[in-house]
Amino acid sequence: MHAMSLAETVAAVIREQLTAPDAVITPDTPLGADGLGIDSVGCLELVLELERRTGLALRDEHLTAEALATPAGLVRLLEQAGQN
Amino acid sequence: MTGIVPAVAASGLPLAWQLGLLRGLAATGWRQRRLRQWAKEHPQIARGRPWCRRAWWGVAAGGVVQRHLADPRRRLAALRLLDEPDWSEFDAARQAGGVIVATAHLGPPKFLMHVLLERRLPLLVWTNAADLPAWLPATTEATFLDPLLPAERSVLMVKTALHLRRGGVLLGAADMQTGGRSRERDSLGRQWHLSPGLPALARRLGAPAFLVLALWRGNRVRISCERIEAPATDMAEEAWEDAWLDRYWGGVEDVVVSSPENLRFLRGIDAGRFRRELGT
Repeated sequence: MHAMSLAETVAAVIREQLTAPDAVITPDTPLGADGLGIDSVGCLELVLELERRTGLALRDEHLTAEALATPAGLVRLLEQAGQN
Repeated sequence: MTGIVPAVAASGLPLAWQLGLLRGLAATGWRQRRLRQWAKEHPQIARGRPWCRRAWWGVAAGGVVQRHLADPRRRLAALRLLDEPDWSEFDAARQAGGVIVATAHLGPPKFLMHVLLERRLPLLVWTNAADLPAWLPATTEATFLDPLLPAERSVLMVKTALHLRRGGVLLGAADMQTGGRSRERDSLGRQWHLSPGLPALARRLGAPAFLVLALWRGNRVRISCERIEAPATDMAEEAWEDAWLDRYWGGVEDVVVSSPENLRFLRGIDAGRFRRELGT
């Protein structure tokens, strides 16, 4: 069994958050109201769960609306956390 | 100069006398017809003429105090109205980590923020930063994030979580809907929309929370600070957050029912006329 990549982990955690688990998730799928419908409280849950799964701690300076807008943004955010 | 508020504020009388003068005027029922009409339509909140007198006084006194706060020569007189609480339980909670100060849109605005800024706490405030009055103390320890900006709401929630995890203090209100989701409470003959953000942070981070309000008590502004007891840890997520909001709302509802002078939303009743009559 291979270790999950960050992208796979992000997609898996997003899928767990959704009430429609069959939704199509691409790196650029919007997480918010114009896409998967994850609101700010859902985003908090998502980010804290990603931190727990990956052991990475996010930092303020990398947090932007863009970073939290798509799966690809979350992957970049985690990669930046890993470089600290 | 139009309106009673500017006239009283410019009278040169000591502030306590000005507030007393307004109380005397309130007792005459002057310009309270609109409040009486509102009271008839909201019998579960408003009860009779004594309620109207206190509500009117709260709007007028708030206007006079705001004028004092805006004037550097008279600011101190307004700030001397403040009675601070015993912060010992709050300070003890801070020793263990981040703490949530849950407030509400009640009582004279920004007094609580002033006190917390003066205490030089590592503070993150959910507020419209463009609306901050100049009389608040300048500080480099505080961060201001606007919960009403839809594009930034997720950033606000995550930044707040990181702030609490670092042992910071959050000042925010849960008595209005700020995002797409809200929790409704049917109470006092109407529906209230509460924000789920604070309980979500309290649950996920295990952060202790206090209901902290700056309220008119007589002619003084008293800050109350009461612990919001955390619900049982074995509850389901949504039930936990609802229980947390019930405890928060219980404290807010008490104020709504018992002290009309602290109902800030009354300023919105036909606000244009209030502004013309009171000059606020």
